Parts: sequence; structure tokens; C-alpha cells
Amino acid sequence: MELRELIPWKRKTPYESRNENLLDSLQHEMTRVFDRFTHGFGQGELSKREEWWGSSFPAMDLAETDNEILVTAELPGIDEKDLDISLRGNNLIIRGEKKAEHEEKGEHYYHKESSYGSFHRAVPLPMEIDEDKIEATYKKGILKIKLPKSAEAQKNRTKIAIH
Amino acid sequence: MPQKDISVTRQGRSLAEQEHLRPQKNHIRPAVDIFETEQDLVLVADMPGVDKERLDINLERGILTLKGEIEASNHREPLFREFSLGGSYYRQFELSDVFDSNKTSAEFKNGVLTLTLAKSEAAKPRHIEIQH
Repeated sequence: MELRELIPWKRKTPYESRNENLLDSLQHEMTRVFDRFTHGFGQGELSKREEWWGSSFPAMDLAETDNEILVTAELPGIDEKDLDISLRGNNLIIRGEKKAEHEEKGEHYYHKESSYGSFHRAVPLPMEIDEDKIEATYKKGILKIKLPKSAEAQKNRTKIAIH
Repeated sequence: MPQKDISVTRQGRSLAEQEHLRPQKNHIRPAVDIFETEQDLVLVADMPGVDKERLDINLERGILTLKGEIEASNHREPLFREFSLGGSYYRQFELSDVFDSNKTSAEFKNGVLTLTLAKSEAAKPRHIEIQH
């Protein structure tokens, strides 16, 4: 058995499955090329989103309790010292770099699904944060950030009675 | 005939297809890199949120199974959610028999599993010197 057979399953990408109709696939390819081109210049759909959120890596989960905002990010395989978390205005900014630890000469890839390199993501926070009490932990490839709401922000919550 | 058991499976589906057809709910396919060096085959799987103790790597009859339970999330009402903790990772691979299963090593760090499978002596590249 060849080593190649380790790769258990090759899924058809959406592009491949369109190949039945040549003209369709050509059009699809052209659209893709143009989309990529415009993204780079800040006009594409993706970059509109990126103005707010940065890239979509790492994947995030944001939750709110009465006293704090909790941010969880999926960041496998990162050295703590390569992570940089900061607060700029109302934005939480997470920067970092994922380094490939296994860069050896002569290695041959059969399968590659993860990506390496630097990332940057900004998360707009819905309220003022007590900057001195932010806590962050990185364990098991999961980054957790606790952002306590400022006293002001907690006070500002008014319950509206329905008459 | 372990090989036969692998290829002839329920409903005539291959193992890979079966894995693919498992219910998606709560089963996450970890992203995997596989590369070969002269001595080994290395598999790197991203499995964030798993405790070392809850990671299960099993090599049986040529089938490598990766399983890992993910810590549960305590976030009940997310503001914004792209992933959620909880559930489990699951992925299987069919291995050829050129590996020395006694020389397999695994390392788990920062949510990344690195599995090194040593090639058996017969499978290693051999340089042949030309005699003068």
C-alpha cells in the first residue's frame, strides 16, 4: 500500500463539482478571480466585514454576563509569547502568529488543512470596560479573555417597566 | 484478513465514506496536516479545547482513530458565536502496514496533537552505494 492512501477521502470542492458544464465553470472561475482582486482593494464583500472584525481567524465566541464580557477564541498551536492582546478604544485587538514547528528539510506533505502565519482580529465591544481588570488565559489552544464592565456601564443598565 | 475487514464494510461503504457520513452534530473533524520525513510519517491535528486525559488515540488493524472530548462551554447566551466549546473531535485514517506500531509517539501541546509514526525498516529509503 502506498503512503498516499493514508489520505482517506477527497471531497469534491464546489468548483470541481461545477465542472460538468464548462461554460459555467469558466464563469465561476472568472468571478472568483475578480472577487479576489477587488477584495485586495477594500471593495469586496469580505473586506467590508473585515473593517469591523478583521479576518475571521481565530473563530470566536462572545458572551455577556451582568458584570463582564467573555471572549473565547480557538487558537490551537500558538506560543503564548506570540500572542498580543490589546484594547484600543472600544475594540479588543488580538494579534499573533502561528508558527509551524515542524519545518524540516526534506519533508513531504500529503495533506495540509491548517494554515500558518500571522493573524489580526478586532472585536468591537458594546460597552466601556474596566481596563485594569482584564484577565486573559491561554490553555489547551483556547484563549479566554474576561473583560469586566466599567462601573458606569453596569450602572447604565436601566430596567424599563411596562405599564 | 484484517485488510478485508477494512475495505468491506457495512452497506458497502468505505471507511472514509463512513466517517464522512457520521452525523455532524457534536462531531468535529479536526484539521490535519500529514507529512513524511525519511524516518517517520507525522500527523499534526488541531484539537483545541481538549484535555490530554480526554484524548484517545487508537491504532487497531491499520485504522488510526483520533477522538477527543472538548471542554464544555459555560456561555449560555452568546452575543456572537462562530464556534462553541463542547462536543467531541472524531477522525479516522486508514494506515498502510509499513509502520512500526511499537514506535509511535504522541505529543499534545496547546491544543495540537503531533503523532509520529515510525516507518518500519523495510519502508525506509535505503541508499545503495556503488561498488568500485
